[in-house]
Amino acid sequence: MTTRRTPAATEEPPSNEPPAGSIADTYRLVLPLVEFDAAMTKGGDVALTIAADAIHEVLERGRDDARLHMNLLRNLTAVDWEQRGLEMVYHLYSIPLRQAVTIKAWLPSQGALIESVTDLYLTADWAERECREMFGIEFIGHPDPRNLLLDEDLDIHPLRKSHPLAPIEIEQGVDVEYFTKQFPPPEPAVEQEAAPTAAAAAPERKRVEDMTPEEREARKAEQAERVARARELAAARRQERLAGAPPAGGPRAAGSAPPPTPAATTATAAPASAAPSSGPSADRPPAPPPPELPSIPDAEEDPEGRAAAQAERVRLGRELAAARRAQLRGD
Amino acid sequence: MTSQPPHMHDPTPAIISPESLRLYPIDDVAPTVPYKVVLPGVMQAPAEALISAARKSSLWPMTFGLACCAIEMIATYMANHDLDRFGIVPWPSPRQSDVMIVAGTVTKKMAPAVKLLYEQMPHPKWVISMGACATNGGPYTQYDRVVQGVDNIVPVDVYVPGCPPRPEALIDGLLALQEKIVEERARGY
Amino acid sequence: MVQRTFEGEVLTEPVVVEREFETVDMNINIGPQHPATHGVFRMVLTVDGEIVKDAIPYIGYMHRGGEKLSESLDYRGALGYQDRTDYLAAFNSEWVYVNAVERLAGIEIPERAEYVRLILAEFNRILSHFMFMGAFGTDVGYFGTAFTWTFKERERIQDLFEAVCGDRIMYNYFRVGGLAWEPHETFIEDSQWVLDQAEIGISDVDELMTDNEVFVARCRDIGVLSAADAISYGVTGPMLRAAGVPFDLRVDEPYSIYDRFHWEIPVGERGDVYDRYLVRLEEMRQSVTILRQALEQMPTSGPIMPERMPARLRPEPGEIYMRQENPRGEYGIYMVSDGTDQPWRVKMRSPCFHNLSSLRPQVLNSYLADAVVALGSIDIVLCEVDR
Repeated sequence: MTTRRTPAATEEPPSNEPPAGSIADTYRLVLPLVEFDAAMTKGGDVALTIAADAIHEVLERGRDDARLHMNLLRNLTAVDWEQRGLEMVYHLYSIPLRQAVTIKAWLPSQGALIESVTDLYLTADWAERECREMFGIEFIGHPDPRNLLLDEDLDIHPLRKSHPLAPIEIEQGVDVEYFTKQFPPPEPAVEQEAAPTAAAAAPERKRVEDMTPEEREARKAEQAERVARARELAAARRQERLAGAPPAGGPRAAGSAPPPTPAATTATAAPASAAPSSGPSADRPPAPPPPELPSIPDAEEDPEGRAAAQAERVRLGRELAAARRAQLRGD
Repeated sequence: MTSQPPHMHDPTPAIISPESLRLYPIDDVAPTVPYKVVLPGVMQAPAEALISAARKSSLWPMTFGLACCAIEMIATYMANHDLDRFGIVPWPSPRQSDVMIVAGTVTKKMAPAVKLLYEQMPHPKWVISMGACATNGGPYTQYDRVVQGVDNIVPVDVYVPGCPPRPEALIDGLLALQEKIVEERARGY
Repeated sequence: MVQRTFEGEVLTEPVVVEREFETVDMNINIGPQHPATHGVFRMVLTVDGEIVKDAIPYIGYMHRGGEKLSESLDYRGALGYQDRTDYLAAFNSEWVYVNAVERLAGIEIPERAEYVRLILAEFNRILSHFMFMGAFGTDVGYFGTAFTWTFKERERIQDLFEAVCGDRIMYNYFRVGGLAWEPHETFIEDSQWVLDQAEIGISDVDELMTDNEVFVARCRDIGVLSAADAISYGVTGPMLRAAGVPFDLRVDEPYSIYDRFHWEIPVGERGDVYDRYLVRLEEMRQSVTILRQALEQMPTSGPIMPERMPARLRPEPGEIYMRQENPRGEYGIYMVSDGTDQPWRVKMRSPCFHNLSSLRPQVLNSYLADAVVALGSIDIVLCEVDR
């Protein structure tokens, strides 16, 4: 996900100065020795960017000074800007004076250290623990730097942009693609023609409870036959997938006559399936042959191989789905 | 019992094609309890059939809400949907429960607890995976702290789709589980 | 007086045995699966007899990466994670998210859409507080009654939501710029009827619980949190107002059209569990007041989306911290845009996370049974705590 998005390394956000008399001026009065850049955020708050080593002083004076009285640390988080480093963000609010401010500080991406503010705000305890495990920022002076949300002994930082998302074990769209490839939906006209004949072949279909025992036996036999046929079909398909058997039609030559239909290809592998499977219609392009899929080893014997094979199958399935989609779209 | 239950309709499709074989369930003769009247007022029936009928009629699911689906699960127990009419009563302890309804996302931090709870339940026991998250991770499947489906850690009997499933869907899942229990006929226990 | 000792001999005078009992502190683990923890929350209590001496909460059993996954989708696609974060107040959370995106992208929304949003969000506040009443009543001792009564009320409101948007708890109905589609034709009449029923339901809960002697005895002076401690812990919402601080974002940092209605902020005095219950109960009545005015004022026709909306949202680089008053407190979305069609950073400031962190001082030196009541009064949603 992160690879296709370039970090905004060159473009600075447009810095619009806060108006005169805003809380930035109060901060300048209270903390004359601390340098900061002031900007307005899009939400109408004033954001002050200060040096990271002044964070404790700024928050402490902001809390204790009567002109600021920032008694609520409403949010504490960080932003991972990749090459530009990490940005600590503190959202403060003064309940009696009804004023809000955002304090920011930049940290290096590796080995980020910042002073903890747990002695000023009790809520910083959990918030800093979360920030520490999610971004890998060490808070100096935190009384209890354990993992909060993740497992206790886990050393990963999921909210870093370098942390990838997990591969999906079950690709649902790919299976649907396999299914529609094996059984292309029949054209409506064909179905309308076929329906009356089938109905004529079996004119009255009795309810099961109305049948005589002989009819019930016959029906059971018929069902057993259908089950056996379906099983054969499924076994043949599984064999085909696992062994990656090439279709009988052979490789297609570009620009030649239309390739053999899937009904013809499956005829050699599973003779029972040839009769019922209806061939694809003329205007629907035939599906490409299924690719050769790697077999998945057992998890206990070869976990790395299993994961690799699963990833390979997912990749193949995605490629197949994309190709099939492009083909159906008409290019 | 000579007649089929009335809800068993005949789903055999008109056209027999591989697709229809795939899509329609194959209906066998419905599971019924065979019995014999040996004396006036005395019936004889296989014990396994009677035991399975008893089992299906008093399912006690463990109240085990994980995430959002738990709200719909509670709503199913409550007045409007009233699971008590099926003999299904929530029970807060695994030691006395029969069914575990996994209602919500199973994270890797929570997975050992889920597995332990399953192991604490006495046999016979069944698991219902309620909702997309418990079935395969749902909308959170791409986060690596999420177990992609509770069937990775415990065997699942019934999957209920939805995000979250409606109470009617959960009731349908429980009824499907009851049918499955009767079909199992107390095998193996 | 005749007393019989264990050995069976009969004495004529009572014997007073003086003995020093040596007690050992015991650790009790509650959760992560426990009916009283309202989800997958775990705490380890150190008890001396019945008195809680220490409490260590463990969270994260439902940490499933809503922030990370929101950053991997585009601005509109990540809306569904807001429903699933605070599933008891999904409309409120959705509202914060779409408001944040709209302000980031500079989109004005029509007035009628604003009214519909406000009405649905206030209904959702009542819905969420009904859930609290049921769960909290169960904690205190109304085993079946509270839950069945409040769920009866909830079903009516959920039916209204279902008529509007098609789902019972995961609505996904707000859109960036307005609403997904028009509410159904009889929306206002249905809302009036549901509101009348809900008001009766609120009175029922009031009669059931408020003056009950056992209920008061279980709740009075339990889990006391002073105003200064509550602010320092970042506690917001009904818990903070119960401590006596009239902090409500609908008034203090007004958003939307809340300035058009007349209503009051309920405030407690002692900051204990009973005050939290009373504040929530009164808040439901105030929501009814707001809803009555909003349903009267709501324009019956008009657009629900702006005329022009960009096909792909690409806000200018910038950031916003949008916060609104959810049923559980201040819910905030900190969103950073880098100019692409995906948010660079989405942080959900969940009220339950901060409210729950104040659990330890509430339960210290209280009885074990009261610790459960204090936990229930926080009204936690674990999906929102862990995100």
